[in-house]
Amino acid sequence: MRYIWLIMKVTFKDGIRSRVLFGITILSVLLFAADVVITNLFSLDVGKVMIDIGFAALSLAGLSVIFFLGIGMLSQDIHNKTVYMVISRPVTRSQYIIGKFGGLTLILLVVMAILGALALVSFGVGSLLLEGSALPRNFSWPILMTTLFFHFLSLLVVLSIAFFFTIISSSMYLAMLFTFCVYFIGNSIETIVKVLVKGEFITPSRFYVILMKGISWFFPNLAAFDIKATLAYGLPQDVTYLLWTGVYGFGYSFILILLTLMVFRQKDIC
Amino acid sequence: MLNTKDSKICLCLLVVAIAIYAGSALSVQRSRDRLDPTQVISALQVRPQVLEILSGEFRSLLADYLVLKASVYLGGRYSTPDTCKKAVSILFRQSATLDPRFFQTCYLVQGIEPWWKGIWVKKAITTLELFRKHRDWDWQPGFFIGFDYFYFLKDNLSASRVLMQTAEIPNAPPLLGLLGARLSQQGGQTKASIAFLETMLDTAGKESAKTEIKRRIEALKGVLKLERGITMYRARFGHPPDSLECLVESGILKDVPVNPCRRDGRYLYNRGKVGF
Repeated sequence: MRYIWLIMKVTFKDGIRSRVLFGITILSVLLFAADVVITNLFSLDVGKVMIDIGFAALSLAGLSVIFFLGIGMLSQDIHNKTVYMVISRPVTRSQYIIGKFGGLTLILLVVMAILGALALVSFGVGSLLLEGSALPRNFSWPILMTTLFFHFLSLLVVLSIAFFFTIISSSMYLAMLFTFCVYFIGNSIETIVKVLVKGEFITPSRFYVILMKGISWFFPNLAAFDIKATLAYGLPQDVTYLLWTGVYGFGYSFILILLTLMVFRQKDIC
Repeated sequence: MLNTKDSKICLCLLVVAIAIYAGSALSVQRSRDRLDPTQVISALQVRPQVLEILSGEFRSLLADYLVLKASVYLGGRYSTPDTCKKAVSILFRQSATLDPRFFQTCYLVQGIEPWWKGIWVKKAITTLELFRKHRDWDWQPGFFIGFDYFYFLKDNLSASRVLMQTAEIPNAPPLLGLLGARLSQQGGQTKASIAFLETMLDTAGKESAKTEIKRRIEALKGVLKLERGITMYRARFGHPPDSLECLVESGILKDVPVNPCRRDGRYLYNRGKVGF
């Protein structure tokens, strides 16, 4: 446990010092500033527009952390052979992976907390400029926190996918490409299956529908974590749905980290 | 180090390059000005579901962008060419599918599409049905659909059906039910339109929206006044007047009301039918 904590701390410090993180923060601050300007172009449901832009900025920042910082750090460790320095000490490969994952999760958490606070500031400024008319219907802080939590959970799932592909692929760019593909499919698989099942525009064969439904079991349903509409329109929250989605997200990440550990244990990195 | 000759060549090349750049920049600017988004509009000819799949978690943001694109084009224009109407209608449909709860889209659809009349009324109703289904706490989409059935399609039965259903939504104005009941009767359409708009005026939040509704109420009151005059003219002379000015010349009206919805202030008139 001590070694895991140590690697976590080192990863976190490395990440915080990184220029990538600095760039991401600057970009996000600009996006939040743009949020105040853009929302002035709308006259109805302005709060919803603010939430859209704020969460888009959070997503972009989170994905940048995963793609540039997460994949970058891990693949550099492996391909520059820096990982030898760690695993030649009394640190197991599993401890290394868990520590790295924990460190990056911490960075993600800190980034989300900072940008979440910035989003709230831009939301507050926007509300002031629009004389309070920007607040969404039935707005409540617990719903906002729940939405942020599920947003973080979806990024955690993407991070575990990124770890898996970084370990199994030989190139950093391949890992980025695979992760992006899974991220994209994860966000759209639900809609694709729904369109196929409905058969409104195309009439696919039964085999194709079953195949797509089967595939959807392998890819994470990232759309399930997107509960922005609940916040933006003050819709009622289904606690059972939220609980199961939480279990689903942590479960998927756990399985992928386990698979990553299994692959990394067998991997010849010499 | 560059010698004097090389420096001169470099300077000459730089001047030539700047001249070429300035020329091309001006030319590009002129071409871009012709593509001013307030003058032309285009929409991706794909089903909204395709956009939904491609946009992933940013679908709601894309919905905002699409409706903003349509708004920039529409601006304060009075007429829209048919090709642009198609593009605007597609943008509305795409935005509504991506986020079927966004009231800005719903409001714009109702404010623009059915007023083009013809095929656009049914297209607007189809889009508005998405909002009625998803904004189940809001009576306004149902009210808009009821209005379109009544005013544009002259389908009082469908209008009353939608209005009656909408009146059951909590916080819906009680007048909706009365209007629905009234629409099941024949006649009195202009009066009922004014009543519709007066309901909207009571609930409109923004001053700009109120001004627009007031403008339309004023226009409809003018229509009502002219329709009454035409009825009297018809009763007196046995045929409708050739123009609205005939109503003044025959002493039925003191003056022809000014249409606040058109720049020339005139009402549209054709064989006894008045429009604005």
